[in-house]
Amino acid sequence: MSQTNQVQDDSNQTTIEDKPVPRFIFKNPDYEQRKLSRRSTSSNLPTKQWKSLKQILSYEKNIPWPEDTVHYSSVVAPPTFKPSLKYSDISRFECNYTEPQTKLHYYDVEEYRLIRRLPSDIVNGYLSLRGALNPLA
Amino acid sequence: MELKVLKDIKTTPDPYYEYSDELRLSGLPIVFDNGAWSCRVGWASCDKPNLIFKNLIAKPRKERGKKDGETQVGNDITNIEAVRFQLKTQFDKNVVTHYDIQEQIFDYVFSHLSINTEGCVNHPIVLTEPFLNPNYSRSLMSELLFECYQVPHLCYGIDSLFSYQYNGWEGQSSVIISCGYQCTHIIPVINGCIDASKAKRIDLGGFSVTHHLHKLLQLKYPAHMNTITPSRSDEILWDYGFIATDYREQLKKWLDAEFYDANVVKLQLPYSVAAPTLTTEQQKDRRKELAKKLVEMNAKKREERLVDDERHLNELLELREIVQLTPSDHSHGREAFKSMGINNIAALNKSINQLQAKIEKTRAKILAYNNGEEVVEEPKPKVAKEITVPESEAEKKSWLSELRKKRAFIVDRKNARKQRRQDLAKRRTAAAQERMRLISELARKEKRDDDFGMRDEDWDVYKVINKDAGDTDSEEEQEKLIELEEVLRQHDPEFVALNQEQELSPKEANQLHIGVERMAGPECLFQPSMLGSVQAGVSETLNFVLNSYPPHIAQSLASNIFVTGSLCQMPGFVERLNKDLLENRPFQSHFSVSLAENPELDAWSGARQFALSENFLDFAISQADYQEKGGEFFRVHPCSNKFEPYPLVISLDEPIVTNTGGGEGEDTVILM
Repeated sequence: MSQTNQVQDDSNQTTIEDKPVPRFIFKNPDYEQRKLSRRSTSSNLPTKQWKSLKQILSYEKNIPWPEDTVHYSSVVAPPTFKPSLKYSDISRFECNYTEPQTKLHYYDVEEYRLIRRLPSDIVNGYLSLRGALNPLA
Repeated sequence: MELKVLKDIKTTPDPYYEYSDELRLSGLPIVFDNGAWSCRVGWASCDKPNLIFKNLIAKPRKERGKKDGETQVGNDITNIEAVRFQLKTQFDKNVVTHYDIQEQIFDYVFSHLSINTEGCVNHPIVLTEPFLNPNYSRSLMSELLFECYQVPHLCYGIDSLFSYQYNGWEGQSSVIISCGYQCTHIIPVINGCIDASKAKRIDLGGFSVTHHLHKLLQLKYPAHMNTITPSRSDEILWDYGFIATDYREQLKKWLDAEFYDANVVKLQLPYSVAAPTLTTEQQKDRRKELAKKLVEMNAKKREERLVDDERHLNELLELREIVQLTPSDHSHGREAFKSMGINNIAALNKSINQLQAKIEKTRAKILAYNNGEEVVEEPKPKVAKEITVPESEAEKKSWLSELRKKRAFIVDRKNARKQRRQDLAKRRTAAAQERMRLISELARKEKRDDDFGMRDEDWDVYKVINKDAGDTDSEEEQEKLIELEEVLRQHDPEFVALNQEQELSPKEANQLHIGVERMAGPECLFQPSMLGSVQAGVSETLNFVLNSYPPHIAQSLASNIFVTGSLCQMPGFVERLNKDLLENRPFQSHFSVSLAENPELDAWSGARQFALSENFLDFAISQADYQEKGGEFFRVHPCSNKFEPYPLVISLDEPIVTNTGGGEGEDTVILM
């Protein structure tokens, strides 16, 4: 068993020497091989899809943990209890007015005039920055 | 305030360190602070990390027919903006999820440490992981390190706790505020043990702050959308950004023009000067030159044509001779006719005459040209409309005001039309709804007593429902407007003054004036609503955490607030926390906020200290542990997460059927 392994290793080394990339010598060749074989069996499919954090968390949620376990998803900060202040989108000053059409906040007449002249992509940029963009409205 | 310039610092590729025999045999731990923003790696023997780089790789897109480009890692990326769309990170929020990329990062690190042992990295690894890292992620990380690199030992710890310990806080009750790149954690520690159940994580961090400032600047200067890059915003943030102690007070100060002038940062963006416009004299010269070239070309063409025509004429003359010499029905002559495309003798004569006239004309022209008689016609300047400017002052004034009124009228009409177009483009506006009402009225079926069209005015309704309201921006109007503005610019000094600001020198046009943005950018940490997040800000969450304890414990926690993470180096961060605590804590109660000695590197230093401690290996997982206890296993130590093994109830081989007994004996629950 071990002999065959050695033979394989030798052949691997020779092929590696042919190529100009004998790079990471510290890596376990078996692991690399396994990874490659995983890839070659389904060459047309994309390589291994890693679970996103969301998927990982929903997977963890479905596990019957003991009652007092603390998870990643259980320490999310609470929603704010303070009313959010209104800041002008243009000048960032605290303000009281909202332009009815674009829903942009503005501080004074000058800014109002400016808003009326703003192209829609800038308006949408301001709105989406503070998460107020509603494309259906 | 003086003009500032962007530094646009480029990263320098990391050096390759020597891997001596001594080092190879020492079994010295490698300390890894794997942060979402930057990765710091070094030998435990060094007092500073050997490598500090952005935890990113740039993977060129695969293109058909092209060889795969080289993947760049960390500091190999010298110009990050050039590869902005190819950047990849192994992180999803603050958790590592892409282990292919993590593997490339490890490759980069170990190759830069010049490790050359075959098939393994023979050093224990101390690796930081996020607070409450899911077991799933940890098991993949262990798999990578144990199987791909065959490390002998591995130890996990939380970065902020390492920093906490490094700063000499041990066995006390305190609150750790750790500001990361993706998340900010607020972790209470009771008598040296973290109380994870009361800890909170805010999904805001260095990234959000940079992003906020970046968007603010881009929206303020849409013309420089592409020049304001994320890395420049980052530079601006760290050079000029600050956290206001009292945001609302400070905002009011910015309203004051003097304060604004004193505190605004004027930043020069790089720009290239467009080629200077030619003077009229130069333009004339150039035009003359062009004309001369044209004339020469014409002359050449003419001569060519002359030669051509003469040859043709000779041919035709020859043909005539042949025709005259031979009888008209002779086949030879007819063939000759056919070959020239001419039907009869009359047509032949006609074309000969034409050709002769043409040749003569051309000859005359050439002669004239050679004598230099031909003069290039200068295009006459457009005749400006005669404007009679009234003589007397009073008359001129009224005349000017008249002009101004006319202009204002056109501009207003244009604006009104634009407004109407905008209104109609959206469905919710009054104008759009009125239009829909009219249309539905017109389309109504019941038309018993329909007298529509009896009066001419009835038809006006179609003008109203037309999207352009029956009149559009006409060219005529535009011309009139330009003309009016031209006259005004010539005769009205006020008009000139009003419109002068539009013309900025390229230097001024490429300046950013960063005022309120300096503090509005980072403020989103304390007011996440600025970014549309419903979460509480740092101060409010801190208060929430403190209030979840009985008063005497909260008091001891508040007296030891420890802040770490690079973001808290932002000027004013600690002052702001102090101010908010003063507002929120009970009257005259004691609290204190202290900053880590080096918020950026203390996590690494703490991890290093831990790696050098005597009983370090007692807390590490060995290969054998990994094989036996699985990927998610790790040994708990003061700086680690709490180990929560997967509950034993679940078996992946077969579903367990449990009887939930009692009243409904039939009900079974299947746990997968």
